[in-house]
Amino acid sequence: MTNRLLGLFFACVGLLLLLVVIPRQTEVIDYGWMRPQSLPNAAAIVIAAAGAVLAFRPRGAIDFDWRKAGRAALYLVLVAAGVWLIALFGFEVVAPLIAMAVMLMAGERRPAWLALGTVGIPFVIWLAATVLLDRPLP
Amino acid sequence: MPDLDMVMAGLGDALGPVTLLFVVAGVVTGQFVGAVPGIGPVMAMAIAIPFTFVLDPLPAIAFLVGVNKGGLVGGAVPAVLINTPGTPDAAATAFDGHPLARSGKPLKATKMALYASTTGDTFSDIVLITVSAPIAAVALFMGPVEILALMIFAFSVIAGLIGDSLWKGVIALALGLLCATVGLDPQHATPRLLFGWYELYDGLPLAPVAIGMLAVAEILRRLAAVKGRPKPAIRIPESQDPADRRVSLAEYWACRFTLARGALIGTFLGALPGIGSTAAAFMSYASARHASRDPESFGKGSLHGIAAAESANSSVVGANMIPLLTLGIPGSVSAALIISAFMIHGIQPGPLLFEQQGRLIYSLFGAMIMANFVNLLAGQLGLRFWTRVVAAPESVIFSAALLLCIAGVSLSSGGLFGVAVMLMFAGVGYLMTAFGFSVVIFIIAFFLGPRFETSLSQSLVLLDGDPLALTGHPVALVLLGLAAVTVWHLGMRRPVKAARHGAGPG
Repeated sequence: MTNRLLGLFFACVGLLLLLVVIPRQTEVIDYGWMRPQSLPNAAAIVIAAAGAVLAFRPRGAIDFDWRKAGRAALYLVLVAAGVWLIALFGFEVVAPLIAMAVMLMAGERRPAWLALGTVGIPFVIWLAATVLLDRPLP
Repeated sequence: MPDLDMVMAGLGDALGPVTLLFVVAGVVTGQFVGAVPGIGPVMAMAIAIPFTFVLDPLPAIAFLVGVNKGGLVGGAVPAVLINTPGTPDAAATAFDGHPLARSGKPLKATKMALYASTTGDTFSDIVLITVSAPIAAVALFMGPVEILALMIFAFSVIAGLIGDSLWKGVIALALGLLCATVGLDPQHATPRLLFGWYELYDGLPLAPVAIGMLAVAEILRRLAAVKGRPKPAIRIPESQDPADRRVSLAEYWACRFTLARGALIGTFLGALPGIGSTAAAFMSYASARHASRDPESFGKGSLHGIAAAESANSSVVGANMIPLLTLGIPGSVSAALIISAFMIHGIQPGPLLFEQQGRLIYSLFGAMIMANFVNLLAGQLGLRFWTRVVAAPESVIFSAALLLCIAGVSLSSGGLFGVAVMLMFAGVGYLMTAFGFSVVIFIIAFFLGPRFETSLSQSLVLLDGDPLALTGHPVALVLLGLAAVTVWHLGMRRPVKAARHGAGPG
């Protein structure tokens, strides 16, 4: 059933791309064999057609678990927030906080490992990028 | 044919101290990350690419090749010790490696894996060195129409063979091509699919997309699955019979036919796009069991089982470079990452590579052979240490990997916009994997997209839009015919056969 729904989803995505997104996001040029929209349109048609076939003949393994997906989304939001903070305060300040938060969320409570992940690893990255490679960190 | 002076100069470059140092660093890094379940050489290569920007092309590519080769050896360690393959291709190794380890011979099992891995790898490197220059010479006669047909054939094989649904493969392929069209179009230089983000004028950057989908998505998947403390590795008994801690020459020699068969299977499959080392390892294992006089011993700690799986999965690495170097078509994700490293250093892989960068290519071949020796040596010295790595907590490993991804991508893309792209594609990659869409196909299509569009445009001009003009290009016609047969066989016949054998729709 999930594969059937996925097929329908991609059929709709393909049509949406073909009829709405690509016309609005490409310029119309009326000469030459290949136009700016030619390959995007072809890809959208293939997505819609393959989605329709998948809906009609559902096949393929699915390994989706809502709880795990929720936890993965939490980690992603945490890292995204960390990147936003890096833009404000810099990598050197925020990286240890990201590492600490990720380790605590993953259930790590041993002080030695927490210290290694929070202080040691960001320091090694800083050393490699700034000192050895002479490239600025964000 | 290549000039002998150039070949010798190239091989001489490979023996330079700087190149050798990076080969050693790559192999050791690869063995280390391979030994950590869940990281693996592909993730390590993706993370390492931005850090190689500042290096010369040869040390940079030699380092990445070293990571790839070392990762295959390291991947066998957790497969043998805790029945958790560090890399998918080591899964077949666990069938016999883990029972042998549980019977009190973990070092014997890991050493057999090491010897089989380096044997298979060296064999495929010799094949690569021997056949790639002649294939490249033939490939020079291919025009845009033939190249386009070859890419369509490669796409059909990759979409059909990776994953268990052709149509999901086709969707992943089309999504990859669609994402490759973001930015200025190559014919008219008009902006496409920018959504107001002017940073995308040059297209979606390859490194953030690849690192997001391959590394960060996998880290998220592993972090989401972490439960409690990591399982401890098997303890290596301190007082062991020396014969149980090593593989004797007689035992190695007894596996010679198994090793040769595995190396041949891995080399053949590795040269075809899309069939990865995992398939080679399982095929070789099944073949060795079928040919064995004592098939009942397989699965109970047979050295032949370990030899078959490891020689095949490692021989894929060298063979994967054949389509990459001769045609510019990556057959796997690791090959796509190596090709992106070539392009970052201003080198365009393809048939002209042997004419324009012959010395570099033979240096790379030399570095690959050196990497095999280093793999053997580092494995001999480091196996005891890598067995300790298996017990490192995932929380520390993955938080470190996340920081490396952020730092690496910001270095490669010159700011945090690339990191945002990486995180977006990490989410996409996570969902694609969870719903059974191959990110490998996506990445290969995304990488080949610009070349595909250019070849398509050139072909349409050459053929004047007339499909009948294809009759003047027999090679292209044969390749397109093969693509059609592949789609029919993998998309229509295989599911029918699977249904007959009781596999229902997912």
